[in-house]
Amino acid sequence: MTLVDRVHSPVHDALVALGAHWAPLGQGHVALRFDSLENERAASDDLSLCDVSVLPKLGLKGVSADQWLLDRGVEVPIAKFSTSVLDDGGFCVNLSGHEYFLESGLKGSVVMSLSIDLPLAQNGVYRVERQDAAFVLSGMRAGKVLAQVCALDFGKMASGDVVLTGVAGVSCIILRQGKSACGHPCFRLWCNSSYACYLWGILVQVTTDLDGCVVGAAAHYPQLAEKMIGDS
Amino acid sequence: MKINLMMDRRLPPQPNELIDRDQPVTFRFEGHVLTGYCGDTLSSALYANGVRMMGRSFKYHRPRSIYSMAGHDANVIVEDVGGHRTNLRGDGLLIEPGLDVLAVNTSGSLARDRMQITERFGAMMPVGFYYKAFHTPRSLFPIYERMMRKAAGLGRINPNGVALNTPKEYDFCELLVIGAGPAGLCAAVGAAEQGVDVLLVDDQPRPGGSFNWQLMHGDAVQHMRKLLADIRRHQNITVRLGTQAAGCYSDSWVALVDDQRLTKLRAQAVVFATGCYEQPAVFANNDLPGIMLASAAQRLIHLYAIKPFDRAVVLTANDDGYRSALDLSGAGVEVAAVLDLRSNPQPTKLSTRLVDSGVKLLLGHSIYEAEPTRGKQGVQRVVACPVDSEGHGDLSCATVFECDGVAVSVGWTPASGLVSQAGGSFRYASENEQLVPDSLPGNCFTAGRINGVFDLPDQLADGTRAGKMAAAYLGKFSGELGKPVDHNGPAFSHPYPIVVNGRKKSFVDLDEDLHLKDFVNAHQEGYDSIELLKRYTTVGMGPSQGKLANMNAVRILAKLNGRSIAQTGTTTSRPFHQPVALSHLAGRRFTPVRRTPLHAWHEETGAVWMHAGDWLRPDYYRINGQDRDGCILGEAENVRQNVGMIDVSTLGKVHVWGSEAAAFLERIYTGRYARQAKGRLRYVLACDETGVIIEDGVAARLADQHFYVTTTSSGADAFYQEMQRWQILWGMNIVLSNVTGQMVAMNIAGPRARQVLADLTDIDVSADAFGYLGVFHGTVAEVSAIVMRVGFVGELGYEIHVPASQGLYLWQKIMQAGGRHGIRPFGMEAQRLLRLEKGHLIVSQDTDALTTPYEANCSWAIGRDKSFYVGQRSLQVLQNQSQERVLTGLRFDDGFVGSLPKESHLIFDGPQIVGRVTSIAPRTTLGYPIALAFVRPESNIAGEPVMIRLDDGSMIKATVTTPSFYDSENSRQE
Repeated sequence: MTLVDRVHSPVHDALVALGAHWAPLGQGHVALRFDSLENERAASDDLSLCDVSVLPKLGLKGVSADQWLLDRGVEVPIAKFSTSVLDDGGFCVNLSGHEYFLESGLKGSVVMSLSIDLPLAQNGVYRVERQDAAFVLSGMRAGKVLAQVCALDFGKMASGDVVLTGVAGVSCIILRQGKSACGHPCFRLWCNSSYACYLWGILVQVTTDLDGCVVGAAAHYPQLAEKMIGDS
Repeated sequence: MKINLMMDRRLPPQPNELIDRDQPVTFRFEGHVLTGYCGDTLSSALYANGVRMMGRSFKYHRPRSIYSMAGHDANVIVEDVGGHRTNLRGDGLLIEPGLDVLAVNTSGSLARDRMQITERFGAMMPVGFYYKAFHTPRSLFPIYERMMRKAAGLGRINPNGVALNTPKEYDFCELLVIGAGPAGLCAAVGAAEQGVDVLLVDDQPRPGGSFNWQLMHGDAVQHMRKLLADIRRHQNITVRLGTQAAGCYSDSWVALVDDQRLTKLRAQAVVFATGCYEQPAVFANNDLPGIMLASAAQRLIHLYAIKPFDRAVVLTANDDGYRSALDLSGAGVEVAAVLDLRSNPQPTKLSTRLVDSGVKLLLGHSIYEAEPTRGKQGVQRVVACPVDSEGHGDLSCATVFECDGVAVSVGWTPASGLVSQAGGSFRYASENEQLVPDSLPGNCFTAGRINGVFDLPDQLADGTRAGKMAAAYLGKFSGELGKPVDHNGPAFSHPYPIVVNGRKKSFVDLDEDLHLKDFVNAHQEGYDSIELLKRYTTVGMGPSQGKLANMNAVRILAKLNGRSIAQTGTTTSRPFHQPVALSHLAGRRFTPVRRTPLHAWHEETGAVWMHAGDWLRPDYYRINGQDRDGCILGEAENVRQNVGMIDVSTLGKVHVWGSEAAAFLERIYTGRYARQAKGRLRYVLACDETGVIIEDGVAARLADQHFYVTTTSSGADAFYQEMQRWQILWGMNIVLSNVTGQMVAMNIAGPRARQVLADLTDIDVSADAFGYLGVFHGTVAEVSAIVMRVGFVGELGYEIHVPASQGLYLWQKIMQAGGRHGIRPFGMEAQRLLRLEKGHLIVSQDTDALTTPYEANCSWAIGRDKSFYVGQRSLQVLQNQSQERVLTGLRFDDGFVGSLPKESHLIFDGPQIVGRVTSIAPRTTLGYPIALAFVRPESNIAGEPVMIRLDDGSMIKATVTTPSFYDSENSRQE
């Protein structure tokens, strides 16, 4: 097996098997696309699934966690199970009032700088290692996939809302993103990376059963559209 | 079975026909090639081709044919030839090119069914005969059982069938309306007009219900067109056709089933417009092919353009029967007579029209007996006579009518199953001679014929009212609902459509081949309540679940008991309303599997997998030319001699922070941690409140107020829950974080482990700087890591924990660096062998649900003078009691030859069980087999022999020894 990147998506091999075109991202590579950009953007409007697990993440908890973030210029979502958008386009999720989960945007700048600043534990703030898999389910029919794997009524979920629920038997955090960076309605799913291959397999199965497809990150992040370094 | 392929019973195009005459379809039935049209069901296509016999009855194997044409009976059941589907209902099975089916429940063929001889022995098979026979003599029971198994049941399972992955989905709606007939359509529109989001479902391919096959004249057509237009106009009405509501569960959870999927629907309110099932009349030979419900004949005419008979007799007790007689005439059927069970019915427009058309009408008459054609494959004539209210016929006034078909319309019973499942109850309305809803849950409403409302205007009004009631419940309507709609007119059901015939079989339950005499006999034997009668006779327990049998059974029992219907009661309805394919119930299965980030690497390296809870872990790594045991031993020997690495990412990993972190550990574990130094780790042992071992691992102190704790792989989630529970109960100043799946862990073990690691890390791994049970936070191959000195396998060992996304990278770097030191991966089995050689126990392998630290030789892990820990009190009590067993080591004679024991084999002292083997390794790096076992404390003396019983009953000897078989001085791990 060839030496892999420092940072590796848990579904990397599944993406290779689908014929991903790759682009460097942070300390790893992201699956950029599988088909033409036009087709994938069209698919993202209808029904598509995308892996963005390599985006850097961070977790922290403790009674001073919110203040710690505020002191570093992060807009902290006030209500439980709500989100705010980070300066680099990522998300800050309020999981419980004293626990936050952050995922950076493409540049990874916010999480990287916070990571440097955040020790394991200090003054009521505790670092929580977050290596979650991250999938984006997008398109007008994204709800059809969720209907087969989750008992929640997503019709009542507002944009920016977060739920912690079970998806195909796996605990997940789901953000109703409203629209992705490219303007498609979408949901963002995070799960423990040890379940990632299993959950990805189920989501791919259901998505393709419904005539959707897997797309690369370029479909959701226009700034990636220029990058391609060839086959993996 | 003679099939006249030339006969075509097709009528000219009908306004509501479902068939597409531009798409002929060829299919096979019982080996014969036939043709129908796209849109035909198997039943309609067969009937159109003149096929009358379509099945054999369950017990007597009598010929059977179309009866309800709505799937309310089980006369036409087929299975794919060599295919995967069985027990398909002919009334609903659409024909398609390539369809090739056989009737179920036949031996040989449908035409030459060898089991039809059974009827000749009918006298020896009265109701409940199997309770009284087939148990003596006992020696014959295996033969009886084989016979019964072969005779009973319907359909065959194809053992080579392919599993289908049908989807299951969740859905939600404000109002579910079940049934798209006249009342259901009105309910949907009525609610939608108030702004309610409505889901309207119907099991037919087209909405309209009886509009399509019965209410087709005059105003009815206008009403239907307007309603369908209203449905299309309302954006807030979603229609699902070809969908049955299979069952209704708590809190308005309804299972919707179509041919593709199962939908688990949660509705806020439900309108049941499920209609009624037309009911049979009971008379001699009432099951012959050609005898059917009047609604079946009307469906054949209007939906499939098929002429049901050439010459028919209509038996009725309501206006529907007259309507059906007129429909038959219109389709070119000669109506020989209409027999009305009622002696003095009020004339209606329909009855007057019929009489005016010249059809003979006999009031107060029923059919006494239907006479079969040869082989009972059809009816050739009926004997009609006056009948009294007790069902006795006056044969002195009998009239014989030649005919090839009978249409029966003597009553209706509500499709009440779903309402009952939802928590509703029914009462018998004697004015309707029908069950009607009595009480309903607050969010459930009924409309139409199920309410005993039959006239079309009443049905429409009733439906609209139900829709508004539902809207009011949902807070979207506050206007006037109007008065409830009552049926004003003659009852549509006859109170006792049963004619007594002492000689011939008069069927009550077609599914179970139960006839009137069976009920009389059962009653005579004392089964005089409806629940007992049901279970003794099996009435209503067949495939159609009593849709056409239960009401008559209740009427018969009431008559036998001399009680009213209300006093007799009914049985309980349970899902499913109609059969649901197992593929739908199974559907796509969710069986979560966990993988470590190193999975693909293991796979490429030849890992043979094993399941450890949800996790997939390498059992061992396959090497060509070596068997399993050889591979495992090779891995273990490499650890002993060089260096090996194992993926232990599945271990539970929990951060415990806070000013009371140490105090928390002191409470949940038996050991002492308050004075544990930073940078050191200690073994942890957890018990439950009864003192039984539930977990073990290590606790590494990373800082004054920070511990990093490991647990067993299979116990991680449960123990973390326990930690959270204790945190809540005690309210201690701690923060917990479960990072089990967020971190990868790898264990490098062997005499060369230090050399492998030294070049990769910024941590000083020398023996002086990094001693046994030390822990450091640093980098390995530039990856931030927690590194611990552990000794589970008895060698110099380092356990490295890193973030999951970087785990594979690090693993590869270490394997690369270790190549020149002979590094090899090792799997679970090698690890189990190595730790067994060291005498280290595995919780749940060497402990069970009763094992205490004393029994497991772990009392050293109990801290002295602790003020409290979970299980302490129980262990204090147990300490003062005599111990019954203790875990110890066993070895076998040098050069042992023969079968060795397996795990859980028992140890005996004479006839008494005194212990058992918990772990055993036939091949070890030591060169001889070893085991861990529970023995009596008095036997726990080195050199003491014990006797172990093998599977074949033979006994072999083992010798007690210290459990630390390898490096008992710990020089290699420390």
